Amino acid sequence: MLSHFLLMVMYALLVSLFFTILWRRERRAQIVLFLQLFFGMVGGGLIVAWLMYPFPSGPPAPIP
Amino acid sequence: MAETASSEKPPAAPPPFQTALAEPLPTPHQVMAMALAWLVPGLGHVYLKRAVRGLIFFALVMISLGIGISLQGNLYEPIRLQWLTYLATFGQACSGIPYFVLRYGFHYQGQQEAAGYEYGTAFLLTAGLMNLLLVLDARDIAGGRKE
Repeated sequence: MLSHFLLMVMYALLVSLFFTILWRRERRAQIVLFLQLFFGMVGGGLIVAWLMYPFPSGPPAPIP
Repeated sequence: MAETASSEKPPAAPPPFQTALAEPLPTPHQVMAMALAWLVPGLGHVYLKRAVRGLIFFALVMISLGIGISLQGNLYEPIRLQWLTYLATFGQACSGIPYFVLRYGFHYQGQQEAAGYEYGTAFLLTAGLMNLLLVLDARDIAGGRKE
C-alpha cells in the first residue's frame, strides 16, 4: 500500500475516472480522455522522477 | 462646419452598466442542487435525476477519502496567521458532511509520523476539490447550461 508507484497509479486512476465522467458523455470520447489523462499523469510522473534522479534530496543512505 | 455638425447623429446612449462577471442569481432549484452536492458527494446529481453518475461520483470521492484516512493524511484546520491552512481547510471542507464527521465525530487529525502522511493529505485534499467541482457541475446542470 505504501509503494510510491502504486499510490501514484491509484491517484491517477481516481482522478482520470472522475474527470472522464465529469467531462464526457459518449463512451468512445470517455475512453480516449481516460487514457490521455491516466497515461499523461503516470507517464509525466515517471518523466519528472527520471529528471530528478540525479538530484537526491537528502544525504546518501547509510551502507548496511 | 455647422452643416456637418447638424447632419451627424446624436451620440448613442451608453449601454447599461454591465460587467463581464455579472450573472443572474441562482434559482432555488440550483441552490438546492448545490447544497445537496456539497453535503453528500454525488447527491446533487441524484437530485438532478442523474443517479448513476451521482453514485459513481460518490464512490470516487469516498474512495479518495478512504485512502487518505488509511494513509493517516492531514485533515486541515485553520491555524492563526498561517493563511495556507485556511485555503487547505476550505478545500477539504468541500467534502461536505464526511469532513465534519471525521473532524468532529471521530476527532480525526492524521499522523505526521506516518509513512503515507503526505500522500494521504493529497488524497484528502483531492476528495474535497473533486466535490467542489461536483457542486459547480450540479449548478450548471440545474441551470440548464450543461446536459
